[in-house]
Amino acid sequence: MKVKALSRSERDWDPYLSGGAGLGISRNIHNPDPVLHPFERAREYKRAVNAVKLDRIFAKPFLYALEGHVEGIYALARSRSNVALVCSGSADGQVCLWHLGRRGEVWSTKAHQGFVRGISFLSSSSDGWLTCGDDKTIKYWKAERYDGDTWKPVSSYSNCGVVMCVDSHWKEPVFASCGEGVDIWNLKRSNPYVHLSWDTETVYHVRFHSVETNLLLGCGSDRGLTLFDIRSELPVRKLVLKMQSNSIAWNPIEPYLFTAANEDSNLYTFDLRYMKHALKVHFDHVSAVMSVDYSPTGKEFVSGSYDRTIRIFGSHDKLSREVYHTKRMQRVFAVQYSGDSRFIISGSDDGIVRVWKNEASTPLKPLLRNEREKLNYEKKLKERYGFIPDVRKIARQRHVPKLIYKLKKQKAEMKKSKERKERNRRLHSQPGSSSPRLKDEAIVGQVD
Amino acid sequence: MDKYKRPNQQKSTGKASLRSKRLLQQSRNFEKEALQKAVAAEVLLPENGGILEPENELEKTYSLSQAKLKGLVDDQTKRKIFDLNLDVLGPYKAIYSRSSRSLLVTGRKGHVGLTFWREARLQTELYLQETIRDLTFLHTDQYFALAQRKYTFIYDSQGIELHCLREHRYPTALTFLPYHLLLVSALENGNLIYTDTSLGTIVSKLDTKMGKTKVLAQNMQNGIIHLGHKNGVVSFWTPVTSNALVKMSVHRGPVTGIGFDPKGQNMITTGSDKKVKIWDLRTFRLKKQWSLPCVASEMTVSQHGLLALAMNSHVWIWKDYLGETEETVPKPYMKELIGGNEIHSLDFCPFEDVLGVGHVTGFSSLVVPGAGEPNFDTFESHPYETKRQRKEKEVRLLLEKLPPATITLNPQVIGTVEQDPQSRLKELKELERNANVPKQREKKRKRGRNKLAAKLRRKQHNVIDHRRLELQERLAKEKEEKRQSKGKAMLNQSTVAVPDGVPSFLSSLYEKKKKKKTYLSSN
Repeated sequence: MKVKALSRSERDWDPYLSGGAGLGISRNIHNPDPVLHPFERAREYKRAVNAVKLDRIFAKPFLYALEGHVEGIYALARSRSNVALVCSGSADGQVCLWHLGRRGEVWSTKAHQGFVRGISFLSSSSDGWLTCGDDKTIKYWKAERYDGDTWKPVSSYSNCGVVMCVDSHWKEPVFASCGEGVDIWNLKRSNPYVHLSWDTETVYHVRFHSVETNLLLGCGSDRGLTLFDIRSELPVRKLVLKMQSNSIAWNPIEPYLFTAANEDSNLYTFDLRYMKHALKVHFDHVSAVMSVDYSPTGKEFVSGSYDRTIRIFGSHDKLSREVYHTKRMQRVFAVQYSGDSRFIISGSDDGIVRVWKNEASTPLKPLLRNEREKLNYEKKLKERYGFIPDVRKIARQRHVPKLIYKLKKQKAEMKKSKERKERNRRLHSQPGSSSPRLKDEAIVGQVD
Repeated sequence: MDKYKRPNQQKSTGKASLRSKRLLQQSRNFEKEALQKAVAAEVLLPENGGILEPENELEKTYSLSQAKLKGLVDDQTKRKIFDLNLDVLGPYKAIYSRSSRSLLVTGRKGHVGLTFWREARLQTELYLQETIRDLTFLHTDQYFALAQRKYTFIYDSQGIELHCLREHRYPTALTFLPYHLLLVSALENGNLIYTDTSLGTIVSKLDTKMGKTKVLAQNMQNGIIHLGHKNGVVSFWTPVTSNALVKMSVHRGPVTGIGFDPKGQNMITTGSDKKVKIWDLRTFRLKKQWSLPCVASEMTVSQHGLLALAMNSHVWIWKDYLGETEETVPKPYMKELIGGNEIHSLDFCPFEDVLGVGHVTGFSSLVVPGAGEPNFDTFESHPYETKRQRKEKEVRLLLEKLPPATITLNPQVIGTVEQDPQSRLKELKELERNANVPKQREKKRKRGRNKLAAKLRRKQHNVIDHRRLELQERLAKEKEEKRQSKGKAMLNQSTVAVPDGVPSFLSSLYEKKKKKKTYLSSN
């Protein structure tokens, strides 16, 4: 007779003997046989519910405030080469350079008379940054030239009219400024070498494309989004929306996409190749959106609004995944992602630069392997069970100020009624006749 | 590979956006990958299961007694074959904890012993001087509940009485749902009561309206409580429905035992009609049955699906009892006689090849090779867990306590897309109808019609096989040929009769004429 019965050595499982290599480490094995794991679905679901609840409990997005400005902050830029450096400019002409790691000011000066309208870091690592202001000058700064009393700019460009924004080229020592049209400058020349304009609009915001580096997008007072090409020295295409856009941002990973922050409290994402429709309309803000910036991962963008909130959207999501606000934060005029996409920097009317976490509940400390694995597992669970109403409800629940809550409800109501009206119109119109979808409603026209 | 496959719930309707189609495909790929990984990871499992195999045809596994087995196994296993002689306060019942570490032995007259059976170390001993009807461990080895004369009591491993559950009046049987932390008692008045042991609240109290029973079993895979009744019915209960989910008439006479295969798909029942029956729980139909020499009073199923039945003082164990056909009577895998003592409880030890037998004069531990799961999952139940691991697990268990509503016939349904209620109802009704269809039996006809040859002929009457088809074809062909040759002959005749240039539709006239002619000529 062939006989063998199960017979284990207890020593193999003792953490202080051979089982734990004598180190007191308890040994673990996993047997994925489903028979040993009854109720796996139900338990997994319960874990998912726990995970979203913990997520909400640990959500502490606000990290710290950077104080130093006296007036509201209207311009913000991050360094293209140094993850820690951020520069902000306020309404009294003060420009401050911040170090996020040290949580403090590195450099500051009164750069302009009146508002600082735009800041842009230059691409190469040794170079400094540009600022422009209401005093109709653009200044090129480096944190080097100090004459005992004040900081001096490397160079100053004043042969321009009103300057609303400045942005530097991603490869060459070239930058663009906007105001009455768009001017393209070489760093070494005192005059712009190209002037681009479409009609007589005032351009408020301008952004170079980071991949197709010669493309340039501007938004202006005639509610248009205009695409320029600095090689042909001509505007290429223009898109007119119902209301004015305040800010634009290119998606760095899907470089054919860009998002415009609109005065009508929505954001519009367009595909460069097909501008007939907005690819996505991002709702959720209740007042004009003032600023938008993409995460370096291209998966998300952050927007700051006149309604005193910051929201984070998935780049293809209709609604925001996160809303940040504090009691003291005023109108948000500028937002930026940090270069490592872990932080969000906001500048608001109350003159304080605030630093937030991108993921509200993830810890910042270096994680142990177990902790990291647990977080990854929970993330996957949330993803997997996120569509179940109970889980979604907990995940989406956010407390917002009463006013915003009310306005949001009102906006939703308005949207619903519009949709209803549109549906009815479609039902009672002749077959074949078409009315514009809500998505396209904001687009008025297009000129090539 | 099949072991790791989960039943596929979602049926795609075919209409999906490109994005969701891609997501679906992605998830399917993940599933496939996980399956492959699970299979590949099998090499990492440290243990293999026990074996008991005859080496030639004359050897039979069931003739191997424990005394003989003792000579064939290693020392550690030898120590697992032992008897406890406790002949005063019996009859005894015994159960193992889910981690397999502890053994709880109770005598009917109030004797309780909790031991670490591997080390043969007594943890606590109590003399309650009260009838003990049933026993169960709670979520860890640290706590156990006893169904005593009037109430259910909860004790800890030190033997301290922690709670007296006064709502459980005159309990007859107990069980514990470990993932829901529910203690279930069947009461003498036919009620079934669910108590949440983490909160101490009564979750539900159900009136079964079927009288007193002590046959209570839980399906570990879906948490449904099965009660066996005196009228041969097994009823299925969950705490959230006030009526039985299903009632199955399984035996003629009282049901004496209920068990489940490890996957929870088959229910095994024994009854006073001396039968063992295996029921498919997906279709609620009988899969197999066989007769026993006498009534099986106790039953248990091991982690690897070994079925042990107690008949008076005999224990019979079956291994591959789900044979090819419904009729074949399976041979027992092992047999053992417990020295003339009537058996009152059977329980396989998890993760061990050990069967614990409680009987009138104590407790016997038998070795049954191949009974237990060789590879435990340390995150699920761990025979050698440290104190710290146990504490951690307890916290996790509390955090992941499942709500009572997750006890359903199909626990895989959670996290799937909700079905349209009407179609679901239809499906359920269909299932019920199919389950209730009486088995088709050949009707007994009257005399004379039952001769074998006639019966076979009748049976063949409507059978269409290829021979028959060929025959039919040939006949049809012959018929066709005949018809055609006849037609030709007719045509030939008519060409003779009808002159040229006459339209064919007038040919009949000529035929007539011809006939007349012949007639005339004959005159």
